Amino acid sequence: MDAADFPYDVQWTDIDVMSSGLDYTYDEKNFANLPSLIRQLQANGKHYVNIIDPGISSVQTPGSYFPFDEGVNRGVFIRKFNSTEFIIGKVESLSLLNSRKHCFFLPRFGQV
Amino acid sequence: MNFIHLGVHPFLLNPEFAQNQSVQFHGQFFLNSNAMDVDLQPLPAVTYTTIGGIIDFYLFTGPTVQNVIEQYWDVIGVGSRIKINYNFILVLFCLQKPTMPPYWALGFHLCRYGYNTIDNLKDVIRVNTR
Repeated sequence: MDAADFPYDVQWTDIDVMSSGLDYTYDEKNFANLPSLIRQLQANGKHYVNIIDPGISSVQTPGSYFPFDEGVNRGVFIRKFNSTEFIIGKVESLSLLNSRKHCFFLPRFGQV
Repeated sequence: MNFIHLGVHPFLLNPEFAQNQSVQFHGQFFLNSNAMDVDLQPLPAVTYTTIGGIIDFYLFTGPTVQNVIEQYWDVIGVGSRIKINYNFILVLFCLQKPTMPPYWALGFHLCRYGYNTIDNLKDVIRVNTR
């Protein structure tokens, strides 16, 4: 496509790239060195989009999964009505009423 | 225009070529959502025929194509307060503009679920960049 000057500008990956389906991770066995492949794409003027899902896993070993720990610290997950208690589940969802979630997503990629 | 709503935007971008091949652009925007005909005439000219509404017509004087688009986006800015122009001289105040998508976002996107391994992904990139 490059030879034909076709604007192949963007490469995406879907959730199969994640490690155990965890947002902001990649499978280091099947997708070893994914970050260097992405940097290579970017060096060639292309862009990369990483698909993530809205749920953040709450059942990982405490301290082992940064997005959940950080989300708890920042209080961005949905809570029970009139309570500080999180809704219990295997994933926590970001509260749509919480403006802090908007800045929650972006910095996570720096940790990957 | 003061709230987000579906609408129709009859917007014309007009290049005018001089003898020396230099080009100047102007834009026209007829802010009217009634049923209408827009006819390009051989003179050359443009005829707008609408069955209702008010004549709320903008001329964007450019002169570059980038200027015209900027002037147009100033008018359609979300939450903008528009001061109607007199004698086709555009006076407007804008609080916030819509976000323009990055140019690359209009290009070709490759995506699938199930690359499964980075080698498959590299193969896809390789065959699509040669």
